[in-house]
Amino acid sequence: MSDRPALLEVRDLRVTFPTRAGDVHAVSDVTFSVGRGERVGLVGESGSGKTATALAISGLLPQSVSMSGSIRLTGRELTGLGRRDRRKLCGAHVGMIFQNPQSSLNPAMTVGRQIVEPLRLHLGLSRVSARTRALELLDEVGMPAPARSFDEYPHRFSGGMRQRAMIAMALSCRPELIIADEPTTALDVTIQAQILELLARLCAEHDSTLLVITHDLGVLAGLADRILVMYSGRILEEGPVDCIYHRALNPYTLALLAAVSRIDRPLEKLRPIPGDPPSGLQMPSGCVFHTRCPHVTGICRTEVPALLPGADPGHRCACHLAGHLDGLPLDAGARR
Amino acid sequence: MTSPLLEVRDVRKAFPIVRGHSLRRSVGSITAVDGVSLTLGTGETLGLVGESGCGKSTLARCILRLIEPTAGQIEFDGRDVLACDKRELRRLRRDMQIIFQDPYASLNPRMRVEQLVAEPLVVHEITATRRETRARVTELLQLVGLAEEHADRYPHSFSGGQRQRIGIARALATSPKLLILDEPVSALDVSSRAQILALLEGLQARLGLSYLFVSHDLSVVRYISQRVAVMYLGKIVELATRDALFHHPQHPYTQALLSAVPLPDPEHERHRRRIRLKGEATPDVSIIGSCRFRTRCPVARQVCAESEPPLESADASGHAAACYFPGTLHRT
Repeated sequence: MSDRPALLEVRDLRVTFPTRAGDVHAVSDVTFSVGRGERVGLVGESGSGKTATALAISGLLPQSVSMSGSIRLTGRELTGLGRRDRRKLCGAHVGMIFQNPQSSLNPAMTVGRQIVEPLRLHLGLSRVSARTRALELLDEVGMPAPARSFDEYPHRFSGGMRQRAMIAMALSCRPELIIADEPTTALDVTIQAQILELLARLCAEHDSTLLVITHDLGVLAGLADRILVMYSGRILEEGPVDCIYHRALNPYTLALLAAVSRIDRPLEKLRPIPGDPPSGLQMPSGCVFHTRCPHVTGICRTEVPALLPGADPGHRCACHLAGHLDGLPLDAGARR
Repeated sequence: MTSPLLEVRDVRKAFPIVRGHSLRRSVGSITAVDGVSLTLGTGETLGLVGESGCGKSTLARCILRLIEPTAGQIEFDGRDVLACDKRELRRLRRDMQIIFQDPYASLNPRMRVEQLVAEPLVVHEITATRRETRARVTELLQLVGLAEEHADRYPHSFSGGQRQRIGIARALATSPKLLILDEPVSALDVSSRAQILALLEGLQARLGLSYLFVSHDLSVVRYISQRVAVMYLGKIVELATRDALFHHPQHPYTQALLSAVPLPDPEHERHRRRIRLKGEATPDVSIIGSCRFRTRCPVARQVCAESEPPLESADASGHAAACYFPGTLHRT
């Protein structure tokens, strides 16, 4: 795992959504920790359970959802807490940045009021000092003309500026943990680059801990120290960023890397992962990826592979065939 | 390239800015597409790249006349698109189809897949009997990699990638020559994105389709296109073959765009120097008669404010950039 003291520890997390068609297992037996000051990327396709994991940590899952396991933030257990205590704790210590700033900002409130609210609520600042602090925050996230932006409504802003406002809100209480769920997916490339740079700079300045959730491996290469790869509610591989990009062992990670179109390599045919992820209603037996894996063998269909250490420190991979894939076509292609 | 399938000449689209409720009046206009010319050959893919608000989707819709361009000429397959009356236009649209970005919003949730794919066949009177329609639907579903049993399901039971396949099957129903793809993979995950790109490639080879591929994602455009046009605030600022554009970008905006694309390579990312652009693209009056990129350009000089640089080819390959100082910025 990490050599830094853990800020966040998630153990055996299970999240199940009851639906009319039956229970959907969004997250199954997820265990990981995030060290203080660390920047961790959680990668997965839609339906992999990455957002459900984030919502479980921040306590934003609806009450109808059943959840088990343990989530500890700075050593305190969050799962048993009542709603009020939990809100108090998470409000002050966890900052959330959502994918779509258009729908997560309140359209009927000025941006300024939305930043002031948590400051008054969680830090108990006076009206005047909350306003001063909010203006500082707007300036810090690179909002042009903070004083004017303070009194504007979100619809007057471009996507990039809205995301800056979201970041200002998330940072307002100086949270120890920032969770960013697809922070740049809705943005243009040049704005995406600005926002990623901003996140990296702010984390470095305040020594904040960052958990970034995305489906885009490109975004994480320059931002994360460590990567967790999720598929169908399980972590299939985790490790330091260089290790995941250059020495990944799990066929799913390799397939994900091979499916990315990129501009820094000679053009070659994309190799899509055939098929679709399982539905969550009916989880495949054994390894969750076996239905799409090019290397599937007998044991993959019957036994769930454990997350076992690889050669690099901190590298763990859940695959029965890890380390035995050398020379197989997908493996060779994805590495080059 | 033989004679082009599609030729767009100096197309312009201005939207009025309307104020007031009971006394609605136009107080000015925003020119979303400002004099764009391009050609597309048979079997060719032209990538049209730009950021939101640059006018790329407006241009795509103008070509189909889903919105009426304010000025310009559009010639498709030897016919003057803008001169067509309603009936001719309907006939013409058999040959040019569009695929939209959001497969969640572009399929009627109350129609079954069979009805969705059969709709264009019925509207354009392509098949005569029910049996014929059903057979063609099955054929189309197979063409895009869906199974016959999918025909009776509703869109909600499909993933994003599968829905986009349904959209493609619908577009192919009329056997078009040109597909306009407006951000067709932007709403999809990487793995379904790769599946759809591979599907589009295969369909092009099999059916000899021409694609106008509109996207903000440069890595996807590089993968699928033979030529690429870069748009900024309503104008094409650079036009080149794929390799020329990605290896030797000339316009500072193209260079900045390329330097902003994240690379899935941690080592490279750590040492990368990005060209940082100030602010965001905002259309305002000050850009008239000058270079539109001037206010954000790292190499702008006096002359850029005095007149607008034309889109000119510097070499025989047709690589053109609308810049007085092309290639001065270097990518790292």
